[in-house]
Amino acid sequence: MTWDESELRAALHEGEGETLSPGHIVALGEARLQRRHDRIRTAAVAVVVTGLLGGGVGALTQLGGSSESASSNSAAGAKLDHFGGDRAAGGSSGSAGSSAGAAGGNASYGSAPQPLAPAAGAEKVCPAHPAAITLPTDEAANTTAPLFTGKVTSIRLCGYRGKPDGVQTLRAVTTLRGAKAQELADDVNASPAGVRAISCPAPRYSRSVVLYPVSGTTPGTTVRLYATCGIDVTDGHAERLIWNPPADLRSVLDDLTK
Amino acid sequence: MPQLGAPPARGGDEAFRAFVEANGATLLHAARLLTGDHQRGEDLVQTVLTKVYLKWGRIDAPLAYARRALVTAQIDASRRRWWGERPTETLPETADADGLAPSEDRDQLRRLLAELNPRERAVVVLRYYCDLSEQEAAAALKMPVGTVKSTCSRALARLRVELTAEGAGQ
Repeated sequence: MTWDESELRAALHEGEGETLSPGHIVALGEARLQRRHDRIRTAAVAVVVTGLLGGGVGALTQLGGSSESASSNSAAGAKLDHFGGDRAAGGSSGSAGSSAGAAGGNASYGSAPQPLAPAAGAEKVCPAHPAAITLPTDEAANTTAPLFTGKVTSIRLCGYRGKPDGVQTLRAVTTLRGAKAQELADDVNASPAGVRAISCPAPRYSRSVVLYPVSGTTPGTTVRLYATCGIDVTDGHAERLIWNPPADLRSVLDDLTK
Repeated sequence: MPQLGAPPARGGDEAFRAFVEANGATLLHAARLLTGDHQRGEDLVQTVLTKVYLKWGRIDAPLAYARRALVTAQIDASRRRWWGERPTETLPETADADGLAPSEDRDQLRRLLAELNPRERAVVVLRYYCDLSEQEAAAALKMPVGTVKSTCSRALARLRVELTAEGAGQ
């Protein structure tokens, strides 16, 4: 058999003529569109659900983190508010610590389990620099007098750290309430007078914590705690040298002066 | 080659239906030639026309798009192992539009056409069934015009040789 191109064309055209149903194609197209829309809807729902789950997990994680943080400090019943440097709580910095200070320090320290809280304004706002309370130099000072008096309901702790120029600035703030506050007060009061550290390589008074106790609604005597080679506590008259606080409280003090 | 109507104006389903009515038969036959199989040809043209339907408002030349999609889909399908060529000893008997069995010559040509590789078959169908120029066929196949020429020439030579050999054998 031989053929030319026209015969090839004719042969290829043989058998044509069967038509297609446009309605069938449209139905197929509509079904495919529907599937596409379903997929998009499913994907959108999946994204929303994933987002909600992620948000929920995030919130739970945050809550877990908060409670973990609270529990890590639970022995001291404290949660720290940190400050970057020279910012003074209660000033214009607008930090949590400052607002807490302005409000009497209650709101920001809600993690403490103890229900007791002083009236608003009873607690001191942490100043930018520590209160000028120095260890007594008079050997005859009544070193064993109680530093905290009465039933202590809360103690606001303002942590400071010294700069190379020797100036200490506020680093962090926390408040102990109820039993924890009383525990700190009792432990300090009960500690021996101790002896002064003779040889201390660390810069003197590089770190300190100022404690503002409250008994009921009455502010108590301000106490300053110096942390160098040991921890010295004084209200300017009485003193406790090389105070050895409970481990959980020590970690809080460390955190306050980081 | 039937005179294919110009693509209908856009206008939703009605325009698309008109397009299918005008070109569906030609596309279906081209698909059967390309696949070498009655049923697979139907599947192929349905797939391609569904694509056209989904892009109806966004394509400028639906017929050219459909032809290009047809050959591309067939060549792609032939590359897949599970959808590749399945040579058979005998072609399946299929009813024609007029209800008559295919003629012997047509049967012979179809069988030989099915033995060409997918690219050669696509060139032959586009050139001698769809009556496309070499340039148009090149555009549809996304290959240089020179390649279309050489492929077409090779395909025709093979068909001639096979037909001659079979004719001599009879």
